[in-house]
Amino acid sequence: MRNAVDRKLILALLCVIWAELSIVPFAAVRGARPDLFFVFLVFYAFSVDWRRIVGIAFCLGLAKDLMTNLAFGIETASYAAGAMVLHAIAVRLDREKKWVRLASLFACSWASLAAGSMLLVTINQAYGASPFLFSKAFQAALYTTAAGGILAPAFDRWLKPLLTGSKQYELF
Amino acid sequence: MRIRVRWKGPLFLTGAVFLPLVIGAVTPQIVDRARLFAVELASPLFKLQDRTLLFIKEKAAYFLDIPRLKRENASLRLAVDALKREGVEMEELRQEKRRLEKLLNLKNMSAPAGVAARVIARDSSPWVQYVVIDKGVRDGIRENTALLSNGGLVGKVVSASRSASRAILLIDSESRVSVLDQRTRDVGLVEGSEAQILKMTYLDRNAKIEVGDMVVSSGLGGVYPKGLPVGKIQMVGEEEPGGEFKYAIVAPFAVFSQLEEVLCVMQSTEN
Repeated sequence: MRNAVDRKLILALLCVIWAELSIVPFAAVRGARPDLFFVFLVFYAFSVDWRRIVGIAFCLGLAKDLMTNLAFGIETASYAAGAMVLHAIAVRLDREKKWVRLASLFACSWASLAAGSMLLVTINQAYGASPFLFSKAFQAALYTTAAGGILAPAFDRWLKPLLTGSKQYELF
Repeated sequence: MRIRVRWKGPLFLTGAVFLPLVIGAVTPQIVDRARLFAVELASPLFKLQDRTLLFIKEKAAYFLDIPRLKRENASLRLAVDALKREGVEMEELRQEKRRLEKLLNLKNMSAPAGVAARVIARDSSPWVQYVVIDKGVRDGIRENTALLSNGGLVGKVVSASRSASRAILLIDSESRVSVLDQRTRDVGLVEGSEAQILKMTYLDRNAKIEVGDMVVSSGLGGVYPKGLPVGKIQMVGEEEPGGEFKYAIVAPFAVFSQLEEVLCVMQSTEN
């Protein structure tokens, strides 16, 4: 059973990586685009295991750093920063409530994009600290939350029955 | 009493987060090679996806267009007859041109060599404006190959692998193109910005540019051929009140959000 869960999770992760690197850039609205990596990370943190998400975010950031043309490491650092925020939220709040999930998705994606924008402005002088950069981060976080509102139920429907079946409960 | 401070975990995490940044800063060549390898590795998947989407789009358009195509077919048949007659006249004129060129000892001025390419992927980062095209070194694409679309200048290739290349778009913040106002011949520099508009800078204070003027590439720098349309001036202003330079906002001709095909111009006509 555990293998089936892992296989499905890995398959879901591969689908998300493929969609994020190939389809999502075409769904950009005035430069802002949803971030499917965070949709997956929030699902993973709230439904599977919140302890691993910083490591997974680090790997996803590295994958994105390899496919983008930004200064190497910015994506990794910003994803890790967002995952740390998510980690802090997932430990403290009720992980079953849907609004908590969406609020966490917004908070961690905005934190990640804001951290990335700050790093970008610090490292690369071609990017001045313009309000566009930060307003785009805010728009992208909103867009990600909207995408999460649509995709999270799909993840739940596809993966949750397996996850629930694999959990072991202590009754006494 | 000793206070135990947990420092190993956060220290390890901070090191891990900043390690890629350090690697990127210290060994940019290795990072660039790794990225080219990643593009080369992913390009078959991107190409397959692009072909599938194109196939679906074409088939859908074909079935939706059948009634209109039938009407158009009838009128095109008439047009073809007229063009055949024109073709014969054109051939006559071409031969006449050749004879006159020989007579005047003129060089054959050919257009720069170009290769058509498809945009198979866009940069997944929200901060940069790059694309991946489906042509690489194998097709003659090199670094600094200029890219054009129907509307005009689009950008240039920054790195090419065997079968795919990465290109920076004009609207990226790191993009710079030397341009001139077609009417007044005032030279400036077009820069991209986060707002996805083009800003023409380093314009002389006495420049007579006006809203609506066409901006074309100047050919200075040898990367972009001279005379490629870039955009139209939308607004003119001063960098500082009473300062040395003016600036202009340029609306690009190319529609960057709908970029599907580009023409890669192999060499600069200026050179």
